[in-house]
Amino acid sequence: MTIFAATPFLGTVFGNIIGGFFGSPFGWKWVQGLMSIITGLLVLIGMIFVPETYSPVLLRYRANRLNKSTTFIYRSKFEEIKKIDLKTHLKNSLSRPWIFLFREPIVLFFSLYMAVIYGILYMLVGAFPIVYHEEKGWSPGIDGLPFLGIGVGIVFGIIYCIFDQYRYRKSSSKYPANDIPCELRLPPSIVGAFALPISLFWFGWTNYPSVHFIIPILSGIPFGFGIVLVFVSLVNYMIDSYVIYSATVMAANSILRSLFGAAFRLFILI
Amino acid sequence: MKRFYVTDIEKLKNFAYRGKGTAEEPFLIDWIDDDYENPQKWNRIYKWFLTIFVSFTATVVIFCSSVYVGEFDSLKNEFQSSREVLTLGISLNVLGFALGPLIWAPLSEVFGRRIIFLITFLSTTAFNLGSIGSKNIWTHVILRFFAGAFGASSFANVKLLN
Repeated sequence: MTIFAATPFLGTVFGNIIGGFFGSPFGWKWVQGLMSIITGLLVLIGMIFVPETYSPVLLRYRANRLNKSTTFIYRSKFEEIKKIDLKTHLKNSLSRPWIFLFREPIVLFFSLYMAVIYGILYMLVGAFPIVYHEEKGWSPGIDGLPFLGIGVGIVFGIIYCIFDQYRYRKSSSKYPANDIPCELRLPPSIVGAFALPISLFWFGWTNYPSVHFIIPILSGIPFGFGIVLVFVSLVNYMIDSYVIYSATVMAANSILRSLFGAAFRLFILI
Repeated sequence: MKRFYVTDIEKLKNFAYRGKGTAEEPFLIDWIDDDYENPQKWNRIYKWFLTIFVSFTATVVIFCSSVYVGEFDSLKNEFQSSREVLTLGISLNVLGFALGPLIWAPLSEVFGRRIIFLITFLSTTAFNLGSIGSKNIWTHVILRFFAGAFGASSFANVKLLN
């Protein structure tokens, strides 16, 4: 399931490619129009085909329904001890991620690592137009195609993670079901952690106008590959080790990541 | 709205729940055996569709964040704005990703995933559409912040899929 955590990266790749092709002939208003059409379609599909799937909410509705139609009192098992109320949830959601971020070294360092990688992705997004548009003089639209290198790497990464499930199942079967070490999730991130700097050195050394364009484009493959491997295994590790707090931990992680993404993007201005 | 899967209400009433049905010890509702309304027991293909749909919503929000690069040239021509301000259109959008889920995650715990998704995505669509009418770059950039913050509800959903 967490393999789906990797698909949003493809959004970055396709956003950059389609943005160039779409924006130069049609202008910014139509790019905004394109966004509205896609999100609007999702609302429509969601309205028709996507029901509520969250058990605590479904069971609460069911309890209410039974309370009305019978003389007994019913309550959802998720609210056995305490009623779910918005105020507590809001308070926890606004405070807990920060506590985890600053008091749990695992969360802090994993999130920092992922945030730096995410920030570098956003810097690359800014660097590509400089290399291919300004240096090599490619026209808008065409200059977004080099992102396909990263895209191919992401697909390779997803395939790797699918096959890695077999390794995980095999090595976790040696342990009792309730005592599987979370560390078994981590091996792919070792491969990913090497792929990322290799890709960056490769890109940095070969992006001059004198080098054939395919060489720096190919450097995107290890980057896309590495980012998927690192993210999927670290996310799985954190979900496994913080079990009931995993949602909070992932919130902490995504706050730091988005802050880095927003800031790193401003380092390269185009 | 009519649901795809409905469990017979008589079956629900007759099931032996934990508890006594009184105010002090209410019946504790759990999924019963062969409960059609339990999402985990739905058709495999339909469950796959839902999973892919949810991850696709997150992908689309990221897509909308980066497809903005296509607006740079025409925005620059129209508003004569600097690179710094234009880049804010991405950065503020991503900043919205950091702040939005803090609100959407607890709301979807209480009110459910579906309704929060529909409301936030309808809002994102409205912000995206609304910014077409921007008369200056600042309006545009600020509306993009809100589009990001509302769209980010989908990230909270993806994480909680597991």
